[in-house]
Amino acid sequence: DRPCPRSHPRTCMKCGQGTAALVIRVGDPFCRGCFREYFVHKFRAMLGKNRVIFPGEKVLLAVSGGQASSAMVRQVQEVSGGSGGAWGARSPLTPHLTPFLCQGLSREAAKRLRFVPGLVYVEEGAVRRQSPEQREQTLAQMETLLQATGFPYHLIHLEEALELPPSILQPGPERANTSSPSRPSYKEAVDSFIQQQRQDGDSGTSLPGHSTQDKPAGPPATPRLPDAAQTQELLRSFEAAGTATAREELLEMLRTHLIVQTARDRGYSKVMMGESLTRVAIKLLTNLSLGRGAFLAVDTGFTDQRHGDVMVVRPMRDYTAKEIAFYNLFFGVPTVIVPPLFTKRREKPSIHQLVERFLLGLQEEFPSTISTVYRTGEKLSPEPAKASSESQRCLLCLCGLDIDGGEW
Amino acid sequence: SKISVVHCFYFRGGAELLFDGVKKHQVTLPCQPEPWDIRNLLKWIKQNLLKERPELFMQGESVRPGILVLINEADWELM
Repeated sequence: DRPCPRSHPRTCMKCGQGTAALVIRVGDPFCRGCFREYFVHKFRAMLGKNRVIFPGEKVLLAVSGGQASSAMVRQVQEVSGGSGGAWGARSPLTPHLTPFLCQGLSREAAKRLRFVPGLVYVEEGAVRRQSPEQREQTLAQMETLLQATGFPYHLIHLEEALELPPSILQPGPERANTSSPSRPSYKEAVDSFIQQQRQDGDSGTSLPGHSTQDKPAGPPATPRLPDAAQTQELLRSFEAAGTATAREELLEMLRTHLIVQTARDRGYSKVMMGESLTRVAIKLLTNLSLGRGAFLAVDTGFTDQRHGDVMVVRPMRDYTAKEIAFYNLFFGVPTVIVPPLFTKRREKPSIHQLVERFLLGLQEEFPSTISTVYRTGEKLSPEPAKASSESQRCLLCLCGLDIDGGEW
Repeated sequence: SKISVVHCFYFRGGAELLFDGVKKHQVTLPCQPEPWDIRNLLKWIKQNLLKERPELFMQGESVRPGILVLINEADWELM
């Protein structure tokens, strides 16, 4: 039984001064200020450590209106040199920026290693049992949210998945990867970006490769809802899926295809998905149960390169659902919550729901459960890429078919 | 220790879906001999505010695993 708040609250373990506002991990109390620094720093460190986002690159952020992807958008705003405000001067440096500081570069310019973000929202009201009015309302709320960021955005309906080209079922032509001689290495790209900044003076000039093609936030005509006929056809596909598990998988597949196609159509080379640590751990065990053990690394890792020309990254995979929820609450990150995927009456829960219930339940008594699952997953790495002509790929998930005998 | 009067409950992040979509609930709790501790508060919420699917909100006498609780904007795990 938990006692009520008392007059002597706990202190932050980091600064030793602030009143603790939440407990992070297993028993670390943090005050709001230190929590914010911790949160923002983790995002920068994630990008810096992985070194896959190049300066000036077009990155499409997949936004669901949920907690994690909304927090992700806010972090991109912070990293893009947005306001910073009172926090700008206090934010700790990420290690990868230190060498640039030694070259006598200003802290501000070094921090402004920006990429060019766009946003995409997939409206799924049809399969979440929303009425047309509710769908319109959700769309309106999301459009307001997306417009407020100032980034270009795209609103699409899940029904549009019915019109995807067959090319979505194959990896796109690989762009030059980091080891190719025609493309600079990460360090070279960053060096030349910083040089450019110096020449232009540290006054935040336009980024290399920044086109005016995607007009920022002048809204495209708000898309109306799709035809009832299209909605019906979509619902028929979902009904045909048979089990709750199959429906969840179908939804995720169609959504991913739509997002990747949007990226491809609009020249984005990267997609950021907002899967949290909690979600990744659940996905890991769920996918294992679904027979996808061979592909855990690509399904849950930081990078997912199966689409070839469009790389999917998961920058929120180091944040627990709790950290994200508290961050959003404390720092006013807006969200738009929608009902879950429809389930039929008296239908057995999906494997996804069962695993979620299992992990969250276990976590109550054993608070390192989820992080342990996550950390085990971290040890998995994708198989070294085989030439795509050698191995056959699954049409639906684009992973190499697991057909070679081989040793266990 | 007891709380004698509680003014506001907020349900967010999807929890509001179980409360008719209403995020803010301002209530006056009835006088009763039992203390208004968290256990009794939750019971009262379940009986008087919760509109559907109690199994998604509560598990036994506590909230369902995964639901976060804040008291006066602070993590209840601090207490």
